[in-house]
Amino acid sequence: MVKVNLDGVVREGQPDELLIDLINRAGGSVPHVCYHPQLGPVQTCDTCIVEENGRLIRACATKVADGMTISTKSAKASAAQVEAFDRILSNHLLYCTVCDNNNGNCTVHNTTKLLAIEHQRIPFRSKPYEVDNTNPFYRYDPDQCILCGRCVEACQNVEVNETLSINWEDPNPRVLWDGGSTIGESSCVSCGHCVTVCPCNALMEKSMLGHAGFLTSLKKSALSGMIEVVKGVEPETGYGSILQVSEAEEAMREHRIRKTKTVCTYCGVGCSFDVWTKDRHILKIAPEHGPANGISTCVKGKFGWGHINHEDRLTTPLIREDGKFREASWKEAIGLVARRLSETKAKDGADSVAFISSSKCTNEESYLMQKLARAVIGTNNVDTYCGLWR
Amino acid sequence: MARTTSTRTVGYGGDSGSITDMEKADLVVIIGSNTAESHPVIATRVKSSHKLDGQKLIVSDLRENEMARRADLFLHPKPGTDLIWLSAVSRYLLDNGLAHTQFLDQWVNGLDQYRKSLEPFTLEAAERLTGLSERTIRTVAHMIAEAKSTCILWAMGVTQQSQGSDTSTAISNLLLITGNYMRPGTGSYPLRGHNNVQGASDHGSMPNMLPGYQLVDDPEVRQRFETGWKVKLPSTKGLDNHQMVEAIHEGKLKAMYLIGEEMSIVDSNANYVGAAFEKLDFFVVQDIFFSNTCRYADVVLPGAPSLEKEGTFTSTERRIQRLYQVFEPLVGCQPDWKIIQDVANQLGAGWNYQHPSEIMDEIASLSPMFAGVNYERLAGYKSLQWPVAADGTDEPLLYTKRFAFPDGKARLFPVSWIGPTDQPNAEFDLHLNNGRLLEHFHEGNLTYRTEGIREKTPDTFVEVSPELAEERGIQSGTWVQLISRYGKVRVRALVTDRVHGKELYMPMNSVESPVNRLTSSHTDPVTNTPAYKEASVHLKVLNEVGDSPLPRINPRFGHPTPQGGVEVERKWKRADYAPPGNGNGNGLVQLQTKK
Repeated sequence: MVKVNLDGVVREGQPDELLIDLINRAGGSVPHVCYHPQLGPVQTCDTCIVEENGRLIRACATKVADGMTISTKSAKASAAQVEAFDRILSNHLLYCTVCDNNNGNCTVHNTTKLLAIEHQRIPFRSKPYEVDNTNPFYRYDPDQCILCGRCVEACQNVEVNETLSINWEDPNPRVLWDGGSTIGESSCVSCGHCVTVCPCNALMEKSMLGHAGFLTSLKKSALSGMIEVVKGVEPETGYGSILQVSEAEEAMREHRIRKTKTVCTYCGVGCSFDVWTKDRHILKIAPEHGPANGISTCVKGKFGWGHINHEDRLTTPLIREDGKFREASWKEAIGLVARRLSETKAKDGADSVAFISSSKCTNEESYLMQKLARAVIGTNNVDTYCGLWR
Repeated sequence: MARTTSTRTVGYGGDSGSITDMEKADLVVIIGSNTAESHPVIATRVKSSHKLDGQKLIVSDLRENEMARRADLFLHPKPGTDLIWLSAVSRYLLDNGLAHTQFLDQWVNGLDQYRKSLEPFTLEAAERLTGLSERTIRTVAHMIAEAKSTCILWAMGVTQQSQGSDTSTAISNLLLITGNYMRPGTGSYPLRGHNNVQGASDHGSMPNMLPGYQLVDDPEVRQRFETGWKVKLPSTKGLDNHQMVEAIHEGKLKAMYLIGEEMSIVDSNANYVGAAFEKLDFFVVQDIFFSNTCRYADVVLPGAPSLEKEGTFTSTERRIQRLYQVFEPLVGCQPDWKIIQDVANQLGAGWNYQHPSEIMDEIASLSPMFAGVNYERLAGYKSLQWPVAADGTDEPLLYTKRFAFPDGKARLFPVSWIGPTDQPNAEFDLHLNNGRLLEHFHEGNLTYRTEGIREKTPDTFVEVSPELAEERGIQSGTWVQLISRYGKVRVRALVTDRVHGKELYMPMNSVESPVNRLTSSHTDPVTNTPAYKEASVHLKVLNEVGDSPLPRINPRFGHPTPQGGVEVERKWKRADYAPPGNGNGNGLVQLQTKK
């Protein structure tokens, strides 16, 4: 056990614990933009700077040590935090009200609020790059990218597909795919890690764009106009009142966006995640708390849900008649199934009937299927197709 | 498959530990598993530990898949010979005093008989039969002996062989003699293919087992279920799905009810299965799409996909997790549990389940293995890894105190090598391997319905080695016909060095040209798992060249840029960077805030 004096209160930390984790556990309010517990320290954003015995350190990159005295709120630490965040804002336009990432979990928005930023001193600088829309599932907007590097860390060291990097030596750094290819022609396997960990709207699922917000589906010209208006009033009103508007819009979203936990239907790893939906539209798959996968997914779990609302879905029972299928009511279909199964059993015995359960169905459904075979028909002829895929 | 194996040696039918154990292991050995494509998120954990934490990696596969390329040691044995090198490693370790004798003395039965069974597996014999050099086999042995903890992961490349269960047993034997059970970072991991393969067998969709792996011919078990269900139960083992197909052909099986499986395409020797379905007097198929199998049905019932129902799935690490209903079922569809209940009630069963949680409560009451499972303990992201005691205690790592046999000890189970079926000859001169692609699930009934996936990976193909392509005049896009002893398919070639020599690989992502039209009905005699991976074909080059079956936008054509991470040090070296708060930062002044 390690004892740390945190803003005048002695807190107990675990050996090897990161200072940022201790601060968060203690309910502290140190900003941190690039730090994500499942990525570890990335050290790009500098917003978690705190003061330790007169010197400034990054809380994410420091392990707690016995006897440490930490001030998170000293004038020096606060000034450094704000300065660091100002640099971030020079890479990002705060058009939150018309941004599809304005859902209460935007790190840049929330940090602006936490630090009570009113005006930015370093003006926003556009980067000389186009938006990259070449991947079917997500897009990258360099102008909104704060260069925190979470996406790079996730791609290089969590997914380990090693596609993303940042060209730090360039006058205008940005995230690169395969060192400078389009996303579409890169080695990107569309696993979605980068999009999942992006703390703002630089990397967004295309299924979110124009769908998550109330005003985000407006035409581009209208949106640009609104963004200009916001930029115009900012010097006078400050960000505080602008954020109030976006938070009102965000509150409205909460009423129509549902977040439901599910478990992936593809392979046997057992990834689980929240599915964000608006009516029957899937806004995005949000992995974070799954015991097997955390922030991880593959392309199928993150983006492969086109089958759910596909027009090919069967929506009525079918009965074969004279070599053709015709639509039937549930009552008729179930009646026919029961009648034919009973007749077969009566004529040729229970063991002339067999059941194959699905390796995609739930445990409860598999259980009922074998119960139907054993307890209702009276045969042990029950298997899963996966019997072939163990 | 793995169930048979681990019940032979350690007791339970499932992964002996968790994904976190694979992460922690000092050495990971992957055999016959294209982990990066078939279990992508497990692969990330191994890749990450290998890249960042010095974990060692050995891969044995025919194909140089991503894990093979990352491995410290890549073994490419002759097809179907993993059992041999595994047994040779075991013999070498025992002969050279490298086995974990204290562990063997304390925890393992059957050593003498096992040693005797290893007699044929000398290094010389292994080199001759597997094509791996003696030196390579010795290196494997020393890497395992020197590792503090070893996990072995395997999948269909092992199990879909006529000696799949014996090879799985050889893996478990090797882990036992090296003491690689009972501790974090060790154990055996037969990776499950489908999301709920584990759960389906856990819950009694097996011809010889009631839920919780309780034998149908055990009178005590049967009595418990008879009391619970208030019926008399059949006591003789039923047919497995392979035997069902045979029984239809023999005229003994007349009616079948099948849920959610594209059996007529993905089954080995697909032609033979289709012919069987045609002979059924009555066939019910329940699915969410009109699958190929539906064509044979008399009644088709529209079920509901995972997002439209409540329930639980059990993953490869024995982890039971809840899924919540995201959408109402499409109008006209019903969750499968409701449909089954309706059929049962029409037959007079009188079931009255209002919610899947009630079904789980019944399961828990009848299966000691799931005694403590209930929906409250699985709420939200909470999960349980079976066995689950009545008080809710679960076991992320099995066998920490004892093995699951009456005396608490594991058993070495001797196996011998017989050799694969459907071998190449002069006519069928090429070995055909097959399996999954990252982007598609199985034949693609679900994944082709996502436009972006279809765009990037539109079709199946057969991978041809550069050597063979040169010899036969094949380029990417050349149409070829593959002819086996059982059937033929027409498919485009993809020339790649992922495959070597006369070995082909064909992913199974096609309904029109399913690879399993080429595979045989040979099975593992222990489990009746088909030997999908044992297929020989003749390749006929057709006089037609199309586009490459994989478009340029497929990630396999990309060029990754591996580096240590975000490499923030490079940012710090920029002339315009200074740490904030030190007053020398690019003339920065502090912001105005309301604080």
